Amino acid sequence: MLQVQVRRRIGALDLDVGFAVEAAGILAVHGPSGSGKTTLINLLAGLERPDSGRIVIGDRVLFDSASGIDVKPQARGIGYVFQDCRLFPHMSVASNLRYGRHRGERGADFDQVVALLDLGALLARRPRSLSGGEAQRVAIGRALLSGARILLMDEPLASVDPERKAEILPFIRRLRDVVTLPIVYVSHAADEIAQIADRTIRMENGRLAAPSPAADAGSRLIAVIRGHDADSGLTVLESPLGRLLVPLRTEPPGTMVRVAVGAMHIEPIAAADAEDLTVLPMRPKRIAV
Amino acid sequence: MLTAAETEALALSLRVAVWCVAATLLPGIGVAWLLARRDFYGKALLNGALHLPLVLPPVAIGYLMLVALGRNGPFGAWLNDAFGVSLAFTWQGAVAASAVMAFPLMVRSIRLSLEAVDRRLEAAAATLGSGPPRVFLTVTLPLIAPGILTGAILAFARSLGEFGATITFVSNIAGETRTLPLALYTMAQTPDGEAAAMRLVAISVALAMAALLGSEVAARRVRRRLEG
Repeated sequence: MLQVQVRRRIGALDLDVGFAVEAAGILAVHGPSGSGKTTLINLLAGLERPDSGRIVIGDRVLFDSASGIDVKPQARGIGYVFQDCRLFPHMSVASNLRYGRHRGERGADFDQVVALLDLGALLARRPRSLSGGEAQRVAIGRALLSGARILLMDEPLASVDPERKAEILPFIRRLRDVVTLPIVYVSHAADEIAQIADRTIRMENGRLAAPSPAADAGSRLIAVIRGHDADSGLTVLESPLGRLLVPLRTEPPGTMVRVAVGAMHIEPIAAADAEDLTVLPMRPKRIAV
Repeated sequence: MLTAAETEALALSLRVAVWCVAATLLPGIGVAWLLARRDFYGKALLNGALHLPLVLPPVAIGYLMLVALGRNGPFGAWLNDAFGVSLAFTWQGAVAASAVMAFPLMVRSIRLSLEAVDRRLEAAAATLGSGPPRVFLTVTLPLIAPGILTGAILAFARSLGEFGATITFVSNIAGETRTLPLALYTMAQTPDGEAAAMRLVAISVALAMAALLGSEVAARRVRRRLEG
């Protein structure tokens, strides 16, 4: 379980985010640049400090402003794959990979990680001579071998060309499936997220945004307002799907409106009457004229 | 080849220069780290005081040292009582004089390379489980090695050429404090000393060239280790 409730103001960013998700699998954090994605995982890793809040991974409290807990980054057991790789330039690839091994925790097996990420031919090389995709694979391996219990990845494919992307994405999926390591994956690329994410949260201006309609299996409908029922606080819409009830609107009857309906909001209630199937939107997220 | 007096001056110069580097290396790294990484009250003052030897006449530094560290000076008397160490008019005093003169050069070059270190690499090392001491030893120190080498070379060179502070603080005693520049000065003051002075100039040139070549080789080796 990954429980996060953090607040941090830095420069123009006012980050205030709270969520609790099952840690297993890949949690994608997406959103436009400047929305606070990187700040959020820096807070998880302990590289930045929340002004207030609480961070719990599994059964371990890493930060809690109320009780003054602030575990140092080196003690958090979190592997961080940076957007810019950050390989140590004065060490060979093999030394980079082994750098985090001193923790003494049961990390992944060296040979297994080398095989998994196809690093065998790179071990004697220096980071300077690696391509962007190779460097990123080494960075992933280094984080894996440090005995991390959770992996944070900050736009690991942002500086990588499309072919390399296609080359690395399968490796990340393999991490999830073979190493069974929970991964928090930051990206603003929808195609990457669609390929690997098990769960998604979206950030906008330092806040969690509602799940985006585009990522949803629902659809947008054009509907006409038939009437209002002030007593129940509902407005009746006529749509190609049938009659919809939504929270009270102010537009007069006869107005055309666009309704975004997510799959999760729809529930058949009159399946018995097959000829006149009615659906009720449970919680329409967005209704726009 | 070399006369006994020349050998003596050359050996003394080398000994003083080596000790000067040894004495300024660790304090230089420490002070450079303080100035590059820490904010504290009086930082500007420390920085200013540190650079004084670069701008003051060396004779003024030597005189201040004589006053403070001479046998009757406040620190000199204490050193003598507590440790039985006397700096005035000894070769150790010559080391102290050139160390004071060389220290700002040492600190400056190490500080510059510390400020150039990519702090993000240190953050990465922390996420890989390294506490601050290990981060410093395994990441920061190797990355500033070129700066440390430059500082050491500058300090060594400064010590070889040091004259004013040395002659003022520890005088010009053959076999004890008469380094190459002081021997050269002595010969230049001696009637019919031109030939001997010229020989000392030649020795100084040879020594300087050897030191420069050696440092070039060392710098190349460090760079290769760093960049692969």
